[in-house]
Amino acid sequence: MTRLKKTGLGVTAALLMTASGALADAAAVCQGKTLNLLLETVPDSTALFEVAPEFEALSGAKLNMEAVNYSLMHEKLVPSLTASSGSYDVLVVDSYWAGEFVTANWILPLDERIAADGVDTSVYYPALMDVNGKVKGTTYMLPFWQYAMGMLYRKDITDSAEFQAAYKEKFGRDWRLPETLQEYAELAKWAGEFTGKAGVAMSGQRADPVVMEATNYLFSLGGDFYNRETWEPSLNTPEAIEAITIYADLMKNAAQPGALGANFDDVANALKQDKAVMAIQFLFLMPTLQDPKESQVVDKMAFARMPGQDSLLGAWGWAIPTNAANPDCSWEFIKWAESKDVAMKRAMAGGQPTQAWIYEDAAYLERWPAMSAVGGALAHAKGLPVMSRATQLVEVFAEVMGDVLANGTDPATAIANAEDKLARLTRGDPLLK
Amino acid sequence: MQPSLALRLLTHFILGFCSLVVLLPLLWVLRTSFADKVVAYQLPPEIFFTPTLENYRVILSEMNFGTFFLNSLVISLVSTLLAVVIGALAAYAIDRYQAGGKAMPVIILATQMMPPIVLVIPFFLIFKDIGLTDSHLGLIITYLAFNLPYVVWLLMSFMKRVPRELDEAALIDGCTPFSAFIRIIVPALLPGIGAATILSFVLSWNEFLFALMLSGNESKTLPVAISSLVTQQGTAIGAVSAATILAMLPMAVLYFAMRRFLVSGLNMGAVKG
Amino acid sequence: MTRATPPSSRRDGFSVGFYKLLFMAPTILVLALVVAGPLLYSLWLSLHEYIITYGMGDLIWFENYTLMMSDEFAGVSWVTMKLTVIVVVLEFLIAFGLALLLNQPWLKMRNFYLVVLMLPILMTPVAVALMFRLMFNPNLGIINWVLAQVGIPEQGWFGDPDLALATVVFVDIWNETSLMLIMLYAGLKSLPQDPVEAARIDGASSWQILWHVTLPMLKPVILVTLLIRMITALKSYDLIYMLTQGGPGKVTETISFYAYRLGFRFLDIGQAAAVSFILLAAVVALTVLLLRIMKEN
Repeated sequence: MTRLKKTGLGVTAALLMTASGALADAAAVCQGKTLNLLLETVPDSTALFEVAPEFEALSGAKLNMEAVNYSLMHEKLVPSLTASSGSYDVLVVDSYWAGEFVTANWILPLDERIAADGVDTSVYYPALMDVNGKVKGTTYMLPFWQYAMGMLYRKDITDSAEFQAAYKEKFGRDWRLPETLQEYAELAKWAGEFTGKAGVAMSGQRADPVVMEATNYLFSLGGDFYNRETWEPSLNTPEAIEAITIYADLMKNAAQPGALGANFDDVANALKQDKAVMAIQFLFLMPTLQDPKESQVVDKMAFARMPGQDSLLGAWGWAIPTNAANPDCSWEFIKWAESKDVAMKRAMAGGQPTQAWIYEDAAYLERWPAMSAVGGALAHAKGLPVMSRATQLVEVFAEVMGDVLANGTDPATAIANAEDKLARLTRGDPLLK
Repeated sequence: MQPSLALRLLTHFILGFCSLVVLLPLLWVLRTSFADKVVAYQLPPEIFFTPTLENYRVILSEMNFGTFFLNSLVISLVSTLLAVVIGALAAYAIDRYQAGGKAMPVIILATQMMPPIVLVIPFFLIFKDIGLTDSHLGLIITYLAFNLPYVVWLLMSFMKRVPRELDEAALIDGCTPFSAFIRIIVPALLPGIGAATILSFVLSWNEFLFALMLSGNESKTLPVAISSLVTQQGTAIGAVSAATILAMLPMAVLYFAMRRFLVSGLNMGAVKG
Repeated sequence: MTRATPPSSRRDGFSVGFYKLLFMAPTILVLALVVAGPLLYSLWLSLHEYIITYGMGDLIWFENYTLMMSDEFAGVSWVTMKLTVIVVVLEFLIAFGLALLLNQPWLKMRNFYLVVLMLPILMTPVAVALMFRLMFNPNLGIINWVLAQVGIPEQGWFGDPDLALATVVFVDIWNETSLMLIMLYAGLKSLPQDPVEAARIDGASSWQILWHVTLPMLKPVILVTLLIRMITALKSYDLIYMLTQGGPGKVTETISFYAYRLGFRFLDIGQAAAVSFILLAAVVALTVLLLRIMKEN
């Protein structure tokens, strides 16, 4: 009886999915099981909730999906992952947690499963596999959604004849998007004066907001936290000092009032309420900037890649916790969620796809035109260093920025003060040998 | 006896001013709960906008806040009830019989002097092992243990003012300590019990860290649910406001409970007088 | 003042010791079972090198405690002290003043004031913080807008290193004063009225009655209110977490938030536990001191 039912479900699965019969296994390993997932409250999770019943139907598993606020996920995951039997069966892992999770032996390597089931990882942008797939050559995650960063700007303003004429008068050249960080800074300060708005909306709040933003400045000038070969701290370089100096200058002279206490939400709101011209922010803010219920700047915003060399790239990846009760079923779920059909459905519902082919799909681009810029952004982007203590790197860099922004310490001194802490973070890290 | 008009006016002025400081932000929240995000952030503020019930609809029907509200209510009520009953007994034993010696009160209170951050991981690991994560019972036990020391101390301080002659007389008349407690102490202690109830309820109702760590879909409480309205793509401020307004509903119940306790306290005084 | 041990009950034949045990047992049991274990375990952890990522390390005894010698710890201690003292003192003064006014027998509209002034306590700090972040938002918030109407220039509030702590204090007072108000008001309500009446008949002024009759009688309640508020203030980190994350720089970073950062951001459980026990020791000392002072008076 049960056998019959399983086969029946297997057939349904094969019919449902374009991606082959490998998924027929789902019913065999998942029937009657419950999969617990911890997700962040983002559109990608909402999109997943919508398609989730499909997986329940084809596998016979029950999905118990819990969505919490981003900054609370890490807190909630850590105790669960240290327990002998965890609360979760499938994890979504932020790119800068990857090193920590691998070192702590919290997530399972996936290479064998990938090879056995013939899962094609070449569908993902290679940059995303680097920041959120592989650690030291072993695949631990499949990229779930990406958060590329770049320049969000008011196209209606920069396209106006008046703006462009004044721009030409001021800078002696025709209007163009800034090509370097220095050019961006000049533009930001001037655009603020010209429009009477903030030239740039910034998020100077401690930890994630300031670090995510300022790291773009750092990477734009070619600076980095460490030399990624020797793992010596490399913040004490002219590029890094200049990046921080420019950031502090803009915070003082071009940003919206109170930017030092602002987080991502405040930046998005400043843009939405027509209070700022530009911002270095997440591309995924676009859908909310386009929502007339929230935004006064619908159809007025555009996205361009970060001026200069690189921007910061991050992503979330699917992983199986080491203490999962049914890793086989967890894997079936991940395979299903990343199958072409489901990935496309999630993308259409407002997610941030990771598979390159989706960005070439005509129907997708028609629905989400702003997303066509992702390719350009990803080509010039890199992640935070993949190291066991990357979460702590964020804290330490936030302390450096806080020292400069709040106490007025000059960047070189602030960096020198943190040198010791930076060096300590890599000490004894098994991932960096 | 009535004080002078000026003094009465001053009193009303101060109380009115403080009420205003409390009310204005709350009215702003109420307003925001009926607004979409454009209106919520618009400056100068629009006074006459078309109110929308969308925020309430979203949190109640799409996000299940009704369930979270019930979770919070059950957890807070049960843990408070237990804490007050158990705590009153302990306060009586400590105040009247010096149970546990001189250091006992400080030891009891000391269990609550740690930043909760360090306790939460051991808590989680133990609760996980005995299957109490994501259950109402787990949070009830946790809050009971957290609030008990405060309740004991608060009730002790009220008990000090119940004249000892009252319960000693009862004991001499042949009451057991337990019946003396029920018949003499409890009625005289009602204002304290009211205050302790509110203290314990409020601390449970608002607790965040342990609720976050120990709850899951089955036992999520309101603070955790509200915090999940803050996302990387923005804070759903309208929904947060609507949830906040709903979360204040127990105030009505709490107030009437409190009033009865206070009135009975007054009556006690009158009887004695 | 020593008292004779109350006579043991004759009717049921159980000794006083039995009743002491019976009454205390539930409390002791709950605390021992639920809190004592994790407390001792944390103490054990504080003596180890334990970064969660790397797993449990060596027993290093008090090395984690040497953290308290650092400038960083001195900084967060100073912020904690400032914040706690300001918040507890101001909230007490406001709450006590309001409780006295509300206790005036001739007061009209008492119920209205009571309900309104109690409202904030049912708002979770998470929601309070979000709401005030919205209102104090420097360029989108209503507060700066209102100030601008009367000609006061734009303030940075949480983003201004000079104003951030004061703004946090304001939010804390708004949120937490009610709880003190209720405890103190209940305390006033439970006072026996005879001594007050007696003093009044003797011709004492309102101030004299307050100072010489009401205050001494209310002392135990005042003490416990201050203690509870001090402890909850020292422990709380959720407001800081939601409002400022300890910033700008470190101007609003308290010991509790620091312990949180050590534990959950740096995943250094050994150090987080050590910091927590330092705080525990300080609070116990403070409590004992406070009790002494109150006894001597």
